[in-house]
Amino acid sequence: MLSCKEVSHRASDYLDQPPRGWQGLRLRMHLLICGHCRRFRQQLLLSRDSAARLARKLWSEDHDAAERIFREIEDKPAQRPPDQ
Amino acid sequence: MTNMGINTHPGIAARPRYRGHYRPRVLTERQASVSQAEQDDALLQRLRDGDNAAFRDLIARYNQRLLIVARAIIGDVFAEDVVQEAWTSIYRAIGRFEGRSTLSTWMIQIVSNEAKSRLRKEKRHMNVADVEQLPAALAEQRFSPDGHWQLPPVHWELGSPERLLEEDQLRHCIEHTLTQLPENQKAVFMLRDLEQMSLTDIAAQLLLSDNNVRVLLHRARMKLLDIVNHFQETGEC
Repeated sequence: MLSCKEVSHRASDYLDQPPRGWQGLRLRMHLLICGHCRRFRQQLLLSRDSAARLARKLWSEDHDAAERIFREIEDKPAQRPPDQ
Repeated sequence: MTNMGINTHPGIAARPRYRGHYRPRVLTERQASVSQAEQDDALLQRLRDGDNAAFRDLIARYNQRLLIVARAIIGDVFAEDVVQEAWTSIYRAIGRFEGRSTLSTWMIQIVSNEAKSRLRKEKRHMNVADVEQLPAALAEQRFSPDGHWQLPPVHWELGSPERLLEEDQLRHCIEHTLTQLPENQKAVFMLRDLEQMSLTDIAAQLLLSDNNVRVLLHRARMKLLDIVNHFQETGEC
């Protein structure tokens, strides 16, 4: 039987690579009977999805850099125009 | 008296209690990724037509993500230089992009190759990939000696990403945490949870072992979980 400590420590791995076979059965059995671990898993999913949604906005829209980078590309005339 | 003392949380006091369980089905990150790919398709057509404004849009949209990848491989000092070179390569090669991967995966591959090449040229031993083997464990005191919860996770009032991100203070805390993540954790989180890249591909792109990718991802997600949990418990960051 998996312990709660083991399930929580592997919770991130389980999101990416859900265990199959006997290991998968052990996990499902544990989650079936352990409300705390079900809650922990849901909270991990929720915080991950919320952060990813925010990161998608946070790590885009870099218009200042776009102008600067494009000017540097344009300053290399031998490399223009792009291959078509 | 409408609150009935159920929720004294200052940030969320007026909101109804969320009783359901979160199921990521409204808009999963995979769906968001598909939506991004559709936007990229429209942009790609403009790029193939030689539209320079479209190329500026592409840079604006992806520059920060490419910087994150470069920093994780070669560190902060050379990252901007590497990404500039990568953009030049992308500009030259965009007409030959065949769509066998997504546009973002293709660009990440280019910046990763530039960074690795620069790493070889600099002949430096970069420590950025060093990762301890053990994952950052939850505080040991949360478990009893037999491995059961001693301090189990508390109920969260805010039960969906939409509800969480409505809270200005929490949103700023998450943004701050994302910004402050170590570069290798940031890159792994971005490649896995935004770009939906496989763990094996992430390892290859960032010069890490599969196991290190798992550890870094675990740490990044746990930090983000801790931030949200603290806010849900105290109403503060």
